[in-house]
Amino acid sequence: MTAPMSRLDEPAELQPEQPLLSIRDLRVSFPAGRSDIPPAVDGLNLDLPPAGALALVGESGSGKTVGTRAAIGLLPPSARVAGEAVFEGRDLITMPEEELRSLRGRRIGMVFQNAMEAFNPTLTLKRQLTEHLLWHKLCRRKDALRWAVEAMDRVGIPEPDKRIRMYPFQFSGGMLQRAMIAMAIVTRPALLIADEPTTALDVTVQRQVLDLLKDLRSDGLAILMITHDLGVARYTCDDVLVLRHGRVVETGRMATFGDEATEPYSRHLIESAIDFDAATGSGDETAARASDGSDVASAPTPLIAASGLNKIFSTSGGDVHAVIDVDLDIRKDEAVAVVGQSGSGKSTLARLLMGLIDATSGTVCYRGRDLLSAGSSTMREFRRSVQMVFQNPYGSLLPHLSVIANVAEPLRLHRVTGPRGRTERARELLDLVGIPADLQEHYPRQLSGGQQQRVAIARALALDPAVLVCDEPTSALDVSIQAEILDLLSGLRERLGLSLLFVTHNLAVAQRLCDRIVVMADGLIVETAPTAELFTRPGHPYTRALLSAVMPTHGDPLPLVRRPTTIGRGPLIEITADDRVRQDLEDHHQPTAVRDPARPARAQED
Amino acid sequence: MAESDAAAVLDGQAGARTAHSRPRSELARRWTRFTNNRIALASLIFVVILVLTAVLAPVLAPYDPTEQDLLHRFEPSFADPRHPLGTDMLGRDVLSRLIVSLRTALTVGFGAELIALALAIVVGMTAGYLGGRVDESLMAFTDIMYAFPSYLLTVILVVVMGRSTGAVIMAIAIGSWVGQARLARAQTLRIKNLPYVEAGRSMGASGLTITLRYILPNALGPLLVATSFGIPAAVAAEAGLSILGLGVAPPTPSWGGMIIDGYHYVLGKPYLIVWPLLLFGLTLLAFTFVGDGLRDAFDTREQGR
Repeated sequence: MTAPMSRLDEPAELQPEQPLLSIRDLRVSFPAGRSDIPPAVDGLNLDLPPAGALALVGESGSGKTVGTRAAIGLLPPSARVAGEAVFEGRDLITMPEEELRSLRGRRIGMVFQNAMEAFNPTLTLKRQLTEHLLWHKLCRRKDALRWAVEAMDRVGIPEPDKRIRMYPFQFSGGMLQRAMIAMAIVTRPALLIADEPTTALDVTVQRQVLDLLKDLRSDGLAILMITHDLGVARYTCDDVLVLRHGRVVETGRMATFGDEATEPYSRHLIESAIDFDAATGSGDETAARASDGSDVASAPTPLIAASGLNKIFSTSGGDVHAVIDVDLDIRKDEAVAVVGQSGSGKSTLARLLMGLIDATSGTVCYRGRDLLSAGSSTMREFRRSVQMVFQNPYGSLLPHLSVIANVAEPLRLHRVTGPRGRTERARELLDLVGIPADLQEHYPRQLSGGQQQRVAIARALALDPAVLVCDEPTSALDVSIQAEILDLLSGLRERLGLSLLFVTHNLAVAQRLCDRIVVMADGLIVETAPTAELFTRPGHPYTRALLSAVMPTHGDPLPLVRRPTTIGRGPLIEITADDRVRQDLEDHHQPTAVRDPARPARAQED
Repeated sequence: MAESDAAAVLDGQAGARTAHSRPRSELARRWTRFTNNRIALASLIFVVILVLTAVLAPVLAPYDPTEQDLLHRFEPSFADPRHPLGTDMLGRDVLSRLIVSLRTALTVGFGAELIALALAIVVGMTAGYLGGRVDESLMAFTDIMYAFPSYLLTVILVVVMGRSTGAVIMAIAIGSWVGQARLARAQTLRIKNLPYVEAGRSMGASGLTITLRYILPNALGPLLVATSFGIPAAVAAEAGLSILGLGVAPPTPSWGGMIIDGYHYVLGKPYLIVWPLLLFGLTLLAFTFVGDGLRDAFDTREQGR
């Protein structure tokens, strides 16, 4: 169905049934010297009707971004592109760069993952939005500001006529993402390409941006959404196209895709998507464990007991109270999840419990012994029996040691057995986590992200720990691998009798693995409840906001609950004038304190 | 974040990332990248030949380089098969003197730079890892050293310590370790915040283990690159000292000394200056090309997968 192309200067009048964008047999390869790399995109076909919404779903490396960028001519010259991409009756692939450039931004708007990088930090939004309009000669200079303000109003930025005079850095992440959408739609394009538009955002903000995208479709805007998240795709789009290794695996209607997809890879994606079950609260298995947990809760000494923990980071912008008066116990055989948005203090809490950073006040006890006052022998025992798994698996492995040496490393540090015994033990552990023997002599760089995380878990298990602290262990991984790692952890927990502290931003992940969930916001614990109870009767409005932010692969998400403006005890940090503007901007729901602790925390970790 | 964008553009390529069939260490990967640079590889072969020649100098040199033969002075090159490159104003064999000078030059070059590297690692890593007061005072000290013209410092040290080979090595090392110390500190600061260092601390590794086993191997690449550029600089520094009459004391032959001797006869007997200059130039060039190759091989910008 190669439509005859009319070469008109103005977009051709489209027949209603004619697709707005039609990609046929698109191939992209990156010829690279000696090595023979298979094509990044190998025969992509898609049709997007006017005002339609299509989701390109795939894991990293599936070619979804490369394919889309190739279609609109955004790849570096080293890429070899073949095929056709007909937009409003004209082929974009053969179109001269000059015309293509005027089409991009005018008829095709683009929204990327990282809003902060899409803006020039030295110019106000007004300059950036109006220049865009004037460059494309879409309106007169005097009308440009009005158009820009209207676009900002359209994307739900409060007081757009004032905000438009501000600089990008004065906006919060969610607001900036809205501003980027405003910039994309200010020229009133027919097509919006959204490349992982919410991946960098906090979960509670993601929902609002997706609602905005859905709403924009009522203006007749077509959306091509690139995402790795089937839930997000389902929520926003009508149709879905699953890509893998640059090839189209399956296409279908989004609404029925979850039940009707037939290709094994699609099924795999659907099944590995982690949904929570709001109706029953949690699976039977978890519920059973939860009741076990409450039995154990009466046991005398918890393995790790934190009480009155506070952490204040002193920065040039004032003190940031990252963790406030936190009490937390981890008992034997218990799996505890700490859930919260970025900046909620959950990672800081994990590091405090691990003794990787010093608390400003409060104590951490290990089997009843205070770690601060205890001697070095207690500390050594603590370091043996409490192990950590990090978010970035590649970064947490020593690059110059082989996989097996990495796993043997803790044994070496604690002088357990001789070199041969250590290698043997490392081999056993790698077998346990499912790293095949032929990969064990490899170096971390040579493994995939999921394999690297398995290695990191094997390393954490080497010393037979009692407690495993996992800091977002799956958030850097593809969805299907995420499920594998969670299954691995849950299996190991049962087999080895581990206690687990699981830090995550994703309630569904927490539900899958944990008996008890601790919800954190702004450095405070806002709610602690057994998993089943938390999902059926969430007590705190913030918990409900988090629950409504989960985008399930099956069925619809819960009705939107906005994040409460204040959590607990009022403003937590000294608010500077700049911050106040930003706080205002925060769409009447996200106080500065939530976001800001992330900055010093990062500064500390970087 | 630019990294993630690049990753996004290339994510199609990454899909082609096939599992390597055999384990390849970081070093093996660097080596492959180094050998892809033909000039660097050729230069490395030349450097290896130079080093072997220097090591075997006593065996290879046909004559004692200090042996004078006043009956056969100023014999031109290629005239007498017994003295292929001729003899100098004292009748000493030029080839033998070249070979033994090479030994002197490389001893000074490698010796000075290895001492500088060791100093730099100790000072730079201590400052970078401990931070705080220690860092401030150590870096204040290196900054003072940095502000002092290093060649002048070397000259002063030679004057104070004398003109033995050891003294010249020490003088050049002390004049050149400062830049590397800053590099070592910068590397340490970068690496000590990487997740694997935190992982090491969470497993109970001591500070010493972390610096020596976790940070040092991963900081060494850029330091070796700096050292490989430092060696020709040290060789040149020694030649310069000799030309000033401050280098390794005669009768030990050195290129600087040969060059300054040849300079006096440059119009009548040009071969006396051409041979040492030629070998000197080729040596510096080869080391520099090897340094270039190492720099590309250890380029930290592409340390991703």
